[in-house]
Amino acid sequence: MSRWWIRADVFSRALAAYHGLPFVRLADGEPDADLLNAADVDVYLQNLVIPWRRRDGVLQLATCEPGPKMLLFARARWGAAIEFVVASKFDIIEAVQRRFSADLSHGAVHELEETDPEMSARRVISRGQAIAMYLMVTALAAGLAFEPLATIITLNALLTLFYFGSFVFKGVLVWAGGIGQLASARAIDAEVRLLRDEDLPTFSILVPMFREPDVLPILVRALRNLNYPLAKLDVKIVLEESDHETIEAARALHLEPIFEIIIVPPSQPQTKPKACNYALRFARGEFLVIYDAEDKPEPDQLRKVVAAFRRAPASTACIQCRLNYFNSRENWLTRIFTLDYSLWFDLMLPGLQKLGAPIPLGGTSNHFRIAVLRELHAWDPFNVTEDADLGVRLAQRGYSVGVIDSTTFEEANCSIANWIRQRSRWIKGYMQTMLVHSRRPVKLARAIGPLGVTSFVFFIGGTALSGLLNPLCWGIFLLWFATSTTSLSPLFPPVLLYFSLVNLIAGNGLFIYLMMIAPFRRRWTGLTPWALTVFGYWVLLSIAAYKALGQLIFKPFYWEKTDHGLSTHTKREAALAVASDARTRSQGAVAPASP
Amino acid sequence: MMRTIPYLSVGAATFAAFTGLLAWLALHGFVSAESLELTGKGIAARDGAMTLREFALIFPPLPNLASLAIQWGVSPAIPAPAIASAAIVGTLAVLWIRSFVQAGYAWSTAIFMATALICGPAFLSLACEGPSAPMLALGAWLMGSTAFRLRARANIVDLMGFSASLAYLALCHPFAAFIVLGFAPFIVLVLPPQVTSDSMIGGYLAVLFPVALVLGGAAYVSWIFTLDPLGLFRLLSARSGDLGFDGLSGGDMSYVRSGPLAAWPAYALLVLLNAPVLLGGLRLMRRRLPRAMPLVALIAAVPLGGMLADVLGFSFPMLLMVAPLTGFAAAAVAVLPLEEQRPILVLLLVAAGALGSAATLRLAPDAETPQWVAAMAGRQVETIAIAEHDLGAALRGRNDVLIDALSSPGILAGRASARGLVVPLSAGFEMTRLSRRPATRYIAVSSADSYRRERDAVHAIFPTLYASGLPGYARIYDHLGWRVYERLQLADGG
Repeated sequence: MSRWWIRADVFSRALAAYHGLPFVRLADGEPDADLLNAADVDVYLQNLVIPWRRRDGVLQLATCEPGPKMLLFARARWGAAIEFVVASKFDIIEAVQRRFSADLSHGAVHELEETDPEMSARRVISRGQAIAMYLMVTALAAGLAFEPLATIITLNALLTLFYFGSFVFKGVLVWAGGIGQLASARAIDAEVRLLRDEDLPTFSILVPMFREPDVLPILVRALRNLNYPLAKLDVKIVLEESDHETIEAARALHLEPIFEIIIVPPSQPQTKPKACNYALRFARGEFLVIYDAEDKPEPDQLRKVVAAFRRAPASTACIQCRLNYFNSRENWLTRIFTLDYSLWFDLMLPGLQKLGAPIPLGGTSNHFRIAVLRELHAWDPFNVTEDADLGVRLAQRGYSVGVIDSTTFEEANCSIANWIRQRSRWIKGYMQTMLVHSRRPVKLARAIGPLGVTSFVFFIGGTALSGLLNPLCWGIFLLWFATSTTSLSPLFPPVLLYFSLVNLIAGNGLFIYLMMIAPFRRRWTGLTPWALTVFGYWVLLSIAAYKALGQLIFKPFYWEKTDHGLSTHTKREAALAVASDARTRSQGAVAPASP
Repeated sequence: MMRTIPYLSVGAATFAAFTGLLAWLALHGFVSAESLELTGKGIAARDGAMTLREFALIFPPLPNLASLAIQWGVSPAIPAPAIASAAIVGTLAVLWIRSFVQAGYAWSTAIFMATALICGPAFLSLACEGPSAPMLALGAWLMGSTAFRLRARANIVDLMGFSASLAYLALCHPFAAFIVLGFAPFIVLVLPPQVTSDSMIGGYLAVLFPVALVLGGAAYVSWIFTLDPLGLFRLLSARSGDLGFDGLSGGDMSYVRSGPLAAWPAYALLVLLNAPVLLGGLRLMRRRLPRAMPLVALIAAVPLGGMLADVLGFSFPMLLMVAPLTGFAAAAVAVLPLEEQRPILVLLLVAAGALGSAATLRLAPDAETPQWVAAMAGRQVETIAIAEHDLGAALRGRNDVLIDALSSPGILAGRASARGLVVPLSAGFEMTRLSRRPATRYIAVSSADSYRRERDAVHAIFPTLYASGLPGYARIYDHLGWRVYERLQLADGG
């Protein structure tokens, strides 16, 4: 079925005949609503079995996987008075969805908030945080009123310390991340070679999409090309009910049954994490990964992840793969964006892993142990960088995240306006994450330790804060440079001036240098000179940071949609994917479309 | 922990032995000009005579900051430059022995080779003069080691280490900056081909950016404080001849003044004498030529650096070149393929380098070599910076002295304190500069014929003071190019 050699309904009928069981279509004969229990939804979806009817005191269960294993499971669950009917997998899933759509939708939105409200970004600022902010603003106002010079010098000193700490920490991270990388990659490669297909677990793949029908073929092609038994893939294409365009496009592709289309009912907030939470209930794998629609994971990625999980301690809940771009050389923005991503995923995240600090997960290609994900109530639908937040929550619960040398290639944003939309969402999400996890600072510090707190401050808080503060520093520098004014001199006592100079030269220089060496791992040294133009990128970052701050205040849960498919490279990729699909069908490898 | 104890023991023993050697030299009167200068700067910093400007403009910063840190962090009483030298030599011993052992040499062979490298007479004499030379050797070793690793593994840490070592070199000695320049054309031999295949410029930029940042940063700081971005480099150019050597020449080969091309054979001879293992290494690694490419770059770096310095008007003592060559030799030893060669061959090459080092000391001594040799032999010598030292000693107990002690910190070392001196950038000195009328009881000035004239701020204010004196002031000191005047009425009254 995973290769369309046989249609799902034909297979199910054959299976029913083989076992001597009746075949039913649940769309025609709905399950008895009284027999279904909302608390058992996960049991139905993960085992693909559902109570259908009761006849003469015997419970009839509809399943698509009849056999001894199912019999044992069902007897343990519902007792001996049971009998089976066979239904297709899709019928069972759709029946559960029809019956429990409202419950699933409610859970997707509110589960985390209802179980652990302090960990939810639903409330932007807690009462304690509001009081602390009020006190700080009062102290600042009082300082400016009574001791303005001392207050400004103190602020200046704090700013200088923040920048100094930030660049030292990032330098250390890159250095630490580079040590032993090759050995670790070789060990995983060796483990991958030892993996047999039959030992591989079922792997769930979530592909949340919204209004991006054109890029769907790229992902389908990439997933078909994965070096993993297709029968062990459990792919969920997660679509919003209102997104008719993408739903039609997905159906028109006549995908093989490993691809399931999950329609998320409308509710607020309409965010990717909410859609993923909804789809998570349907996932049946031991591991789960999220890919974006235009993603192209390296073919051996899932095998590497399984090998990495086997090598890692049981506390490793997630393996983050690297992200990078397939259209890196399209224009200036894609080049710098590629440098930024290379720095983040190739150099810094391995450093965080090496130091045992919390890792703010990237948007896609993070592979979870599905049980841990459910234990943590999955993603926060109110946080617009739900993965970064989840990374910190994992660390707080004592779980670790591994980083491996396998890349998923994506489409780099090639439009400045689109990039600012995307980055403003990320920065807003980082602000939300910072606010959520600083509500219980002592608990946080105890859970993740001093290094974790440093990483949390400089990596999550620092990213947002530097974007906001940079224009201020540039303004002061430009004012001094253009006018040679001495009016700023009192604000820079000698030691502070020296530190500020170090920050200006060494700090900015180090960040440029890190950008320069970022593509080294991939041997993309052609991008290196572009790091000299990174200042323009920092300006864009600051614009995005202020937009993010505005949105945090006025539209905290609004999901700034990033348009995909703008790149000429992506269009080419999509055309190639469609052509490849057609070629495969014409060669007869794919069965005729199933309704 | 158990594995680090032997290395720590080696480091501690080397530190103790080298400190003992320095004490022996001091006992026989040998105190190098570099040590005096660093000590003087430490005293100036301790007594608040150095402003932020002086701190920011310190070059080369690493030896200065190392000795300042020791003076502040440990005790102002101890001879900080000597401790800094000993600490770096101890570190070199640990790092080199560790790298040799990791390369597969027996402990005894590793210790013998490290000893031969460190105790090569030319290198040892340089190390006794101050921390600059061992720092230079450390930078050269880092540069060489990371260059070999980068070529072999193409790892990001090796790239960072390599470019950081180049930046470090530029900060530890002006001559080292020329080595980096000399090395630049050969970086292509260090970068793995898979890195340069996408872009040669990108590879070069990733390696050289930190050096450019360091030098650009120095120019920027110079511009901030003096409004002259090239001021620091001009100062260095003017002082390169007497950086730690007080402007006195040694033997015939100690300075090359006959043009860079004519100097080439001398530089080549230095490489041959002090680092035969580099040349022998090419032969030993002939079957792994791609991996041996950095050797070619290391062989060329020092001679080319020397030639560039000559072309640009800097003149460094040739003996100084022994320091980077020793570091390069140590880096090369650790990459020679032991499985194909007998370690004895490498060991012989290193031993030959030690003999070559002795020959270098004879052929190209620097200004302080004769005193060092004599003091090593147990004969009493006079420090070469005797002029500053004596002046400082004469000014002990005298306050209210107008003097540019920051340009000649040896004076402070001789006086043991900066208190009571009116030095450049202090309010009193600047008032005198503006009014051109002295207000202090004493004025000290250097001779118009002296090489110090260029940098003596008192001489700049009173150009005829040394020769003609000042009305109302009487000469009370005249020795080795320095004169001190005292205000008459106070002298009479005093």
